[in-house]
Amino acid sequence: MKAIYQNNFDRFAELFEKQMGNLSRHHSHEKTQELIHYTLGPWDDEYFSPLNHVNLYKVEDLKALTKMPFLLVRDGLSLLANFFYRFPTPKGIKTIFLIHQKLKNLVPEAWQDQVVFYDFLYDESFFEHKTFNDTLIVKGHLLNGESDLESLKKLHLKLRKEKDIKKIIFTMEQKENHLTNPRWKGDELFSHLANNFFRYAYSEISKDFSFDFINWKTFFSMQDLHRYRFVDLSEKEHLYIDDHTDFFLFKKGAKPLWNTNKKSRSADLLIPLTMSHGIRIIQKETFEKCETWKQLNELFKNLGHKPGSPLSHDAFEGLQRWRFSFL
Amino acid sequence: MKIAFIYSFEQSAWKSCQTITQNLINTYRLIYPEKSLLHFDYNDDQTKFQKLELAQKLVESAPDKLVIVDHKPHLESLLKVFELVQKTKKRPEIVFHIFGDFTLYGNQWLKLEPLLKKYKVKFICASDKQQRLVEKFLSRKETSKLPFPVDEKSFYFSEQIRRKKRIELGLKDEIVLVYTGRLSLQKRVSELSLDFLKFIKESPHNCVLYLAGEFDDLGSPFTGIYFRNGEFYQRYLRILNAVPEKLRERVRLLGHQDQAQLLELYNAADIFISLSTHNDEDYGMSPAEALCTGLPAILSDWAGYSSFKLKGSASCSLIPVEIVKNLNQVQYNKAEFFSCLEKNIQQLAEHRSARKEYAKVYANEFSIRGNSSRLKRILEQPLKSFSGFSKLMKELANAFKEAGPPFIVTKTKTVTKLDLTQTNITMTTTKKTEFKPLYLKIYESYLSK
Repeated sequence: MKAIYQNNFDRFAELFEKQMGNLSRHHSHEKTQELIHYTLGPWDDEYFSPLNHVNLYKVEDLKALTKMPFLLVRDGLSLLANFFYRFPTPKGIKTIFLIHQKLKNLVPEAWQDQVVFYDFLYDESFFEHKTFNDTLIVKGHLLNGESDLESLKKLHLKLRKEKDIKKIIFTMEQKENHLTNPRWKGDELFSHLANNFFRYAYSEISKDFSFDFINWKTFFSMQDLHRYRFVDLSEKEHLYIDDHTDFFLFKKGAKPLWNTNKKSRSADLLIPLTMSHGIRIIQKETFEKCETWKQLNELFKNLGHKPGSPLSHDAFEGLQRWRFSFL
Repeated sequence: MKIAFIYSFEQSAWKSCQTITQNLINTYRLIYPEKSLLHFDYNDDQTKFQKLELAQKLVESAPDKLVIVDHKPHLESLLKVFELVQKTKKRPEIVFHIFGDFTLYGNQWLKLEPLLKKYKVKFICASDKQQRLVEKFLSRKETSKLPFPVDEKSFYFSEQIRRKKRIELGLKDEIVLVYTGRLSLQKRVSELSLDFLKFIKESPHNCVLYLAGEFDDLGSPFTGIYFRNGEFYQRYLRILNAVPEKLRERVRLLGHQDQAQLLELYNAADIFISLSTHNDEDYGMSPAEALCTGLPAILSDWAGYSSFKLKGSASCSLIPVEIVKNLNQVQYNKAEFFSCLEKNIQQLAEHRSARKEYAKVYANEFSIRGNSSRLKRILEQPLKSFSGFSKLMKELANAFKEAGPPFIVTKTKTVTKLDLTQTNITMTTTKKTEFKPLYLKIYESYLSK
């Protein structure tokens, strides 16, 4: 099936693969990769990138990367840390890794010669003369173990200042976080998590905005997104960097509400992904003597993990707490 | 007279279909009083029970005509339930407004056939060639032609809008060519861009080409060409990036434009171009709307586009198209395109002074108001019971049942070579796809004779 997909770009084969993935995802809790994908979906869903983007959490053997002269890393902090912990040195491969600049201090010394940085930019000029409606798309995950209620409160305060936003469409799913939880913990956790979230939305957000909740299926079937603006509910870089939902929104003409990474009119080196956004390759900056990686290594050692082995759920949980000081 | 419109209240993913459904309903509004027009939501997400409920409501409302003004879902599942619920022998007439995806529903049409024979049916096609194509699938000629109407209140000529938009776009004396619609493989936007650049490289004219619309990755799945999410845009960029930057800048991507923006763009432009060879180009809302603003158009002589050339009007030129069987491609004639573009540029002054007149002619032919009397005549014609589909429908349905794309066949050729220097025998196998005879049988209707 994979061969057919690769040779023919067969979207039906791709869909079939996804379906198979969905099935095994629910029946085989042992497969770490599938559980991670379950946690991250649809952020890590596939799209076409000219920069060989890959999910490093799916790489089981470094040799698999030898044929790629360069690749763009989609993983966020936790998963990249896991990768470097599993592969402390780039043994036997010359592949150049494009890593998001937010994660630059995570790169171990042994890998530094093979790393270049990137970030995402969007082209403000593309949105000139376009008018937007008063509805904001807020996307995110209700992940068990994440403090999304706090994020929601912060977002609410910030949005009160946006006078032209009247309605919010929340698109999110409740999910188990398989990075930090080794076993399924039952539905009651979800309902507890969701209860707090929904209660806040109905009691507080409703005072300032009308709102609606939609699932991902409805989100991806939305047309005419060129009049919408969007934000992420909470920062996601600890889990994911190259986000398929961002790609989808930019492709459909939506615009981020808060403009952090604008492309200037002068021609930056930008590799377009859609008509309105792309990737900027950044000249290599100096590393901070790998202090961060050393600190992290120390943390893992204290937890009893050996380099070369995948991180445990405890380590991921530690990482997620530690991320606030890093990101 | 009670008319029940069947359509999805959820907007179609196809932007042109959103407009078509609304404009068709508005055309009926000019003929019948509002109280006699009933609206029924029929969509893909409905459960069997919801369909049953819908059928019951339909029966209770006792319409004289069921009018299908949407391209999906197919009527098949609703009509089955409708038959179960309906108790009287007096069945309503069924009027299908046929869309470009008619040939993609062979199996559904066949399943519907026995039921449909109990009804009096009319198929209304949007263009001459679509009518020709649909008639191939019917045992008896039961079709009429009615163009999908353009809202004349949204698309008209205005010198004032032209001046304003040209200033907004920073245009001085540039000749503005414009394409609007989906930026898609079968719409031939890559070839159009490249051919445009080739043209301006060798010509003294100061032209720019605006492309308005979103890129899609539809490819051509029925002839075995698939793209991954976001792939077509990258392919387009790769092709364009081979051209020097200074030249490349003459192609400008605008992204999605809403109706008000399209009106401005058409008015600001000098020539509309679309060289689409899409398999479901039964009509072409974009050219129709552009022509109603008096904008001259250069169009591929393919499918519904051919109907835009009106006798006695110089504002639409057609570029010949051929089906290249062995290459699995439908191609427009490039030499003809270059000479036609040159000719249109030479006639620009003439075109500009005649735009108001052009707009009037096209509005008369394609607008909601212009079509209402035509529709009234069609609806007043007495109908006969449906006579059934031709053998071609069965062939089509079978092609869709087979594994793989329905319209192509893959041929493998093995060549054996003897290398005398090393006494090696090598065998190379090449795979080539070409159109099935079925494709030609159906889509030759879209060619001009």
